[in-house]
Parts: sequence; C-alpha cells; structure tokens
Amino acid sequence: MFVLLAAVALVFVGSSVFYEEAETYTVDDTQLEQIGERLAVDARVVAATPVSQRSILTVMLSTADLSIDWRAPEATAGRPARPEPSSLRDLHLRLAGTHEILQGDVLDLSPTSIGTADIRGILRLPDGSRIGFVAPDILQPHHMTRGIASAAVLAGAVLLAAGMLVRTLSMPLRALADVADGVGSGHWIPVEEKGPREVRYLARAINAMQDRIRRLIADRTEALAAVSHDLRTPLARLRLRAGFLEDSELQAAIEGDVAEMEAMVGGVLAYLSGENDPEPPRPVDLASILATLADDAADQGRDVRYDGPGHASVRVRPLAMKRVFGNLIDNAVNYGGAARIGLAMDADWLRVRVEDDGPGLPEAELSRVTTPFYRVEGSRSRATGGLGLGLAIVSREVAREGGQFTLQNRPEGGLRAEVALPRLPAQGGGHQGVGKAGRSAIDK
Amino acid sequence: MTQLPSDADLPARILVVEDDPGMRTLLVRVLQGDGYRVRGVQDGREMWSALEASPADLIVLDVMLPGTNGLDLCRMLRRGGVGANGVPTPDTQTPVIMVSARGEELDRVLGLELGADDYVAKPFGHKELLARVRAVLRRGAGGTTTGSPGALRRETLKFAGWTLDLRRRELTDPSGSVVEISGAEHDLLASFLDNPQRVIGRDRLLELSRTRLGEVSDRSVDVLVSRLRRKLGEESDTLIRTVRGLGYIFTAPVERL
Repeated sequence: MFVLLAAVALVFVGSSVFYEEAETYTVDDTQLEQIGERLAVDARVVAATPVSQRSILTVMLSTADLSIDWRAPEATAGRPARPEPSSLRDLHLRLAGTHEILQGDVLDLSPTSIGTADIRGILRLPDGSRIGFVAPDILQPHHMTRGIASAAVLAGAVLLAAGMLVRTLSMPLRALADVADGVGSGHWIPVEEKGPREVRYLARAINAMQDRIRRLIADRTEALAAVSHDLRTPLARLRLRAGFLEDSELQAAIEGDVAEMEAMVGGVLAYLSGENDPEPPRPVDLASILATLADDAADQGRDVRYDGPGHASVRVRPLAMKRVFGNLIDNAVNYGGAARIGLAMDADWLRVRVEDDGPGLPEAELSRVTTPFYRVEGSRSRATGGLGLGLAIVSREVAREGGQFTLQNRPEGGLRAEVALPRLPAQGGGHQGVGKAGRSAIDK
Repeated sequence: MTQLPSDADLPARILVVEDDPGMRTLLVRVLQGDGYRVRGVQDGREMWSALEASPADLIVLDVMLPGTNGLDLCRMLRRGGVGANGVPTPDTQTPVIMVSARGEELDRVLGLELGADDYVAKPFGHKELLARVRAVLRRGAGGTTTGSPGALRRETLKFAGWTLDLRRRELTDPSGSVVEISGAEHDLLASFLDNPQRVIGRDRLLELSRTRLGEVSDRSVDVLVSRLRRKLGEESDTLIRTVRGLGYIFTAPVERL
C-alpha cells in the first residue's frame, strides 16, 4: 500500500514538474507577437531619441501590457554574464519574430521563477544602452494550474484504480495469510477459493497442504500415543520383576528408572490427550486441590507448602487443574528444591503463585520454556529428566480455561510461576443447584 | 484342600484376568508369594467359566482385554452377570480391582462408578498391588464399614450441607463446589460418617482410614484430621471435635441416600 502511495505521489510530482516546464512557456502566439512588435517599435523610438530624454520616454511608452525602462550602457558591454537557459530559447525566438531590431544576441530573457507569469528581459540597443522590459501576465499561469489539477485528477484516478486492484488482490491474500498463520494451532479453517486465478490456485494449494498436515499430525499423534500407552505394560512387568530382586539397592534403582519412564509416558499422553479432553468444567474448590497436592508432595518428603485461603471456588476442569499445578510443583521442586504455593483472589481473577528458591531462568528462556519438548540447556535438564512437556501442558490448559500463565524471575531469587484464572459469574449458579440439596439435609 | 467349605480359615481366592502372558504370570506370582490362592485367565470367556468352576473372593481385572473389555465385564458382574448357561452368578458382590495402562483419572472414576472397588494403574509395584488387594479384601470382609461393599458403593452421604459420594470418592461443599480430598482423607471421612456422633479412638480411626494402605504414609491420625478439617472449612472444628484422651467425635447427623 505504501509503495503504491509513493508511486502515485511520484507520478503526481513528476507530471506537475513536467507541466511546469512545458506549460510555463506556452503562450498565446498572437499576444506574444504583439508584445514583440511593440518591443521592436519602442526600441526603435528610444534608439532615435536623445539619451537625455530616454528615461522619461520609456515611462511614457510603458503600458499595462508592456512596461519598459531605460538603462545606461554597462561598463562591460557585450555578452550577458549568464547565458540564457535553453528552456527560454523557444520563447526567445517567438518573441523576436522577424523584427530586425530584436535579432542577434541583443535580446536577453531572464528566467522566470516558478509561479510568475511575467516575461522579463533586457534589450540591448545598437548604441550599447539597454531597455529593461516586463510583460506581465503573459504566460497564462492558469494553464499551469490547470495542468497540475489535471495531474492531480489523473493521480487520483490511478490511486483509486490501483487501490481497487490491490484490494481485490490483497483481501484473499490476507485471508490466506491468516489461515497460514493458524496452521498447526489446532484450528482447521479451509480458505475460501476466490479472487484472481493465481490466488485461487494458492488457496487450493494451501487447503490441500492443511489437509496433509492435519493427517500427518493425526497419524504421528496416534502413533506416539500408542507407543506411549503400550510402553506401560512392559514397564509394569519390569517393575513387578524388580520386586523379586534380592538386591534392594538394585531394586530401588530400577524402580527409579521405571518411575522416570512412567512420568515421561504420562507426560506425553497428557499432552496428546489435551486436544480432545472431554472433561467438563465445574465449580471446584481450587484451594483444596492445592492443599492436597502440597500434602501429597510433603508426604513424599518434598518441601512443598500451601499458604492461602482454605476455600477458593472457581469453575474449571478439576483434573486439568490438578495436572497444571502438579506440573508447576514438580518443576519448582526439581529445579528450585522447594515449592511455596500462594493463592489470592479479587473480583475478577483468582491467582495462584508457585515459587521456588532455585537459580531461576535466563530471561531469554522464560518465553521459550512453554514450547512443547523444549528443554533448557545446561545442567538443569539432564539431572531431572522429563521430556519438556510440563510447562507446555500448563500453558495450554490455562489458556483453555481463559486464564493467563506467566513465568518470571523473582527479584530475591528463584522462579515464580503465576496462573490467573477468570472468576466467572456462573459460579453463583452452582451455589443454588447443589446447595438446595445440601440445605434440605440440614433442614431435616 | 482348596474346596473346603470353611473358607474363612484359608487364604483368599483371587482370579487374575489379564491377556498379557508375562503380566499374568507376574501377577499370579506376586499374589501367590503373599499366600493367596490365585488362578490366572486371559479373557472374559475364561473368566466366566473359571467363576462357574469355583467362586473367587477377589477379581483382578485388566481393562484392555481382547473381546469384551474389563469395564464391560465389571458392569456385567455387578448387574448379576451373564454367567455361563444362564446360571445365576453369585458374584455380584465379589470385589473387583481394575488394572489399567490408562492412568487417566477419568478412567479411574469410570471404573469405580461401574462398581469396581479399586483401581491400579500400570506400572505398579508389589507393595501397591498387595496393599490394595489386602484393603479390598478387608473391606469386603465387612471389617471396616457397615454393610457389604456392594451396598457401600451405591451410597451418597449428606451432612451439614456437604455431600460425600462414596462411589466417585467425591466431596461437595454446601455451595456445590467439588472439594479435592486425598484417598486417606476420604477413608477417614467415610469412617467418621459411618460412626456419627460417637467417640472414635485414634487407633481405631487409623485402622479404618488405612483401607488404602498404598497411599497412606506414616502420618498420624492427627495430621489427617487437621488436613480434613482444613478442607471442611470454618465450621469444621465443631464438625469434628477432639475428645481429649479419647479421640474424635463427628458431631453432625449423617443422612444416607
């Protein structure tokens, strides 16, 4: 669009300059002839008059059409200091016409400045003295403005036509870009096949590509899920077999390996199943979920604490939220050694913070760690295993609840993960529905 | 020897239904190692004929089976069964533990709703399996709760505006929000609700709430009670009152639906 505007502007400027060059010196021929004739007559009269009376005479000869003045001969008589611009050549010749007194290099037109319509010049008389002359308004400036106006109209028309053309081209292209932008985000919207032929071909190609990608992803997803799922049976066998080992140290090591593999398998399955999770949202006491997760982790000897209100009702998918906060707690414990969970509510949002005292993350990594299968380089990733799906699941599930997930380094050290969930007014509905049954129990 | 009528003195009979041969052998071995009388079969058809041949005290049932899957088999068992040749199946009360590679909690809830008594997810270890088997057998023996497991499963308990769904193991507060409780907390609360307005000693409570041994740590009853109180909200101190030197008393009346 900007390119188009620039081009049209260039055309406009260019044509107006061209018109200036061309039109400025387009003069009515008869008028110019008259001026030339009068100049020739005046020159002859002045030349025939004694020098002392020439000044007065020139004033007397001046009219509205052509005013002249007499000037004494220059000290350095001869050729003009500046050569006449070639653009004035044509005007010069037409003005001089066939008048003998104007022939040769005696006539010297001065270049007109833009916007004026006067012809100015100096005529050298045979005795060396000069007559300055001005013929006002002879160059018909209205020609000029008309030229510019028509250039503007032309430019406008070009702009309009080009705009429509660009629009018919760019609208389908923009739609294509929007679709291409969404490819892989889980929404499959076929592009409308309309517009110019090339665009239609492109749309068809993109639709076909979308279809192929969808099939490819579906196949891969299915394969990955099947493999992950089927791994559980050999893992179960391995774990049961390890139970028969006499060497308790070895047994514990194998159990650890199995647990790690199981965590990976579980992560993959959780990640893959997320797309078509059938769990419906319902009113849930999120505080009880956080407290239970913290208690369970503490029972396993991990340093996890929940400090917050005892109740915090919000409408979410409980299993998804358990996975989200379970992952955040795991991360905090694995990387930061401990997890402190806090919960705060205001009118619109319920915010849960999970903080640790670990090394935090480089700022550049903060936005990247939610990418599926992304693992932070360096020591953090190796020691703790995992596939790099934990935060990807968190990010996706929170987004599906209409919430926001943010990660930041705490100024006092460590990482802070915050999940903000919208508190919908629909919560009140649950109060009545089940509350009624509950109250009837009290009444009795 | 195995057909003696006085089963109470003998180890419990367990039927393992699992299609994976390696897994089946291992399950049988682990359970035999703990002294149970174990038979292993590979699908639903064999399960029905095995049950016809001799009853079982517990069925360990894999979810993913060729032919009729475990969830459907469980449902058929609970409905009175499509026993072989129309013989009325006496096994509607036989406890069932579902075994699944699908660790999803939705599957767990579904299995429990269909009438399974417990659910273990692959991969599990010896301890977890044996703890669950023991717990389910003990519950089935009527040692912990009033009534048989079948009756227990269909119950919903109400108290002070709260609802405890014993099938789904789900606690709902008076406002209708689901309140998350751990397995041990659920069993503790269920024990309280089974004995409302009566003083229960700590030792007894610990024993009662240990029906899910696999998940219970060495936490004392007091810790469990304080966690449960926290979840029951502000009025919970009056709901579960401490009786000094004796134990606890659950004060509210309980309604069974």
